[in-house]
Amino acid sequence: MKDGLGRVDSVLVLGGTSEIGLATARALVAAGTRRVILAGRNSRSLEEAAAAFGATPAQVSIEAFDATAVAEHEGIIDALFDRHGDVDVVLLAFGVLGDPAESGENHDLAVEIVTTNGLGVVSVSIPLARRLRQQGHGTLVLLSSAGATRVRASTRVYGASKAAIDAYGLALRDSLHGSGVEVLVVRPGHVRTRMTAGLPEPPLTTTPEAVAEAILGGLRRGVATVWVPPMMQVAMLGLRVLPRALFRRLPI
Amino acid sequence: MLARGLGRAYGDAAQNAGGVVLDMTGLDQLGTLDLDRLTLRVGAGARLGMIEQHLLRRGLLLPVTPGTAHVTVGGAVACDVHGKNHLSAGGFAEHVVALELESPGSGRFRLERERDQSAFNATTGGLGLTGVIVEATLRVRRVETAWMQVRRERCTGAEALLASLAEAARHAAYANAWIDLTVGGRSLGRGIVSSADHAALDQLPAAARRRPLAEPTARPCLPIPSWLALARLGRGAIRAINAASWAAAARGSESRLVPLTRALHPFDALPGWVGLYGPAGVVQYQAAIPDGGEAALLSLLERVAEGPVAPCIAALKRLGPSAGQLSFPLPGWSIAMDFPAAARGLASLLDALDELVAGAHGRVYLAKDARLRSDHMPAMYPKLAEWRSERDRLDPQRRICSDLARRLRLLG
Repeated sequence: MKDGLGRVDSVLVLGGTSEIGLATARALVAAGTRRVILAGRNSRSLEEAAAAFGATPAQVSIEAFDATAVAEHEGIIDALFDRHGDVDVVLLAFGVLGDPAESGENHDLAVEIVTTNGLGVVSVSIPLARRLRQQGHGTLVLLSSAGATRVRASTRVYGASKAAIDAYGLALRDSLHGSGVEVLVVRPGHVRTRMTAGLPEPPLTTTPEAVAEAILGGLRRGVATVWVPPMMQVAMLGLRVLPRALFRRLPI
Repeated sequence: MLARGLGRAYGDAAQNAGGVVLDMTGLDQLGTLDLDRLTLRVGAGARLGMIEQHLLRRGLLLPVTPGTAHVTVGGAVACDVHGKNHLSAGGFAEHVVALELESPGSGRFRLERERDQSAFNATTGGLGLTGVIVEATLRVRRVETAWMQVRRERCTGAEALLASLAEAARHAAYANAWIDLTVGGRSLGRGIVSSADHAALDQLPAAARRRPLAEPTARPCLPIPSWLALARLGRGAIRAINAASWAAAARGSESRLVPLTRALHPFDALPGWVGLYGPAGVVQYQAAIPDGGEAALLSLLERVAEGPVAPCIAALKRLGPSAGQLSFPLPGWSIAMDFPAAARGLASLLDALDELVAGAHGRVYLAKDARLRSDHMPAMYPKLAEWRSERDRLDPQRRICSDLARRLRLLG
């Protein structure tokens, strides 16, 4: 349960080895969070991620979760909430970028991206929204992308998968209005992580730590969206109104 | 499910996100007033202010009432509230003869102080988590007049203030102290000790003696304009208000007659005062520090005076023992401070105070709390385990819950 000054007590990170997910969990712990649940596919990496929290007053536990195993989502989320009790913040941090050049051509890769980033999010959000609505409080944080607001040709599959959950997340927020549950859609620009290693860095490139800070700010203010860095919102506003013929020719 | 009274708890004690909240204020009937045994049966939703008016006309009074009369009997029992007379009269629960409790495990039954000690002590101060309190039989006391003889004494430093308050509480029925925590250094802990006793008939001026139980009509209070938010006005305004209160008090001591309800419920003189804290509201921090922990109390005062956030109001009281398993009072001192919730640095200041209080074997008042950490609970409330097992007996399926219970993991 969040306290009267907005301090988050417990956080569940789905995609528990994600750098943005872990940076957010660390920032929350520094701000007073006392329970962290990291859920993901690879139990070895999860254990390492949990161990990396080091000496902390927070209790860090790990759970098995696979974003693409959609048939198991209902059972897993129910079991997780039954075991851990109320969760204040659920962060959906899993995602696949894929090689941009390849993902538009490679069928299997495209399907994997859309299955994880799109289908996985919608699938797991159903039991999550139900449990959060039952407990009557909590925030579901979705990692969208600044690029989701105008999808570029070069990252069309990834961008479209993020555009889908961006739109879905905001509509989910509206559907939960009045239940005590909130949805926060996070729109980072290019983030320097393992996922983007080796890719050229565009302007306004940011870090997992900056995204984490922005998420904490968004949680505090209870807003629907946060952009990281904030200037990204202005940049995307410009790109969104650009005529298609021009947008197509941009070297981005 | 959770029962709620008038919602005057500062924190989340009467909230239950996602669950059912019962508005108990409809159960406000006044039952039998037994003039031989001096007891009154009332519905749990009855407001203390209403009961007080009903009694005062007959020369009777509730032995214990909190600083505001806008609370229900059920809430007063569930929080085992106290007044400025805890040392001489104990808490609210001390004067409860019996309760009608509707508990999920045992249905509706009568809970008597003597006969069902464990369940009774789990319910009084039990934050409404053992069942729904439906009705209470309260002890009442006689008063000769609707007036109080109030004495005020100005003290220039913390140590003098503590000594003077301890002395006042030993001799007078009611005692408390206002402290100015906006000044540090030599003036740290300067304040005013007030003590009061019920005025006897012969203490009243001749004019009032004819109708000693009639209260003077309250002066109307101007509404508080919305721009007057302390949080917005900042530290300077808080400092100025405190300095003005200090300057307004007479040097040395003075004594005067004050209408009883105004002396008992100073908060009710300014309805809407919470609005002064702006949209983010107010956080009250109230802690008890046992006798012998004066050093910790002084360092707490120092910490606040030097801290990043100035409390708008700070008050000290003396406390005695209490029987409720989760009741707040313990023999020692109570310090209560109001902070604007929007103030920067408040969370870490209060965390530091928690450590100080826990280190001195003290505790934070749960009815006022909105931000304590669950880790402190077992140390601050040593009877927590006993309370939990009694609570689980009354509500084995854990149907009753509150946000406070979830935040502090009270149910275990």
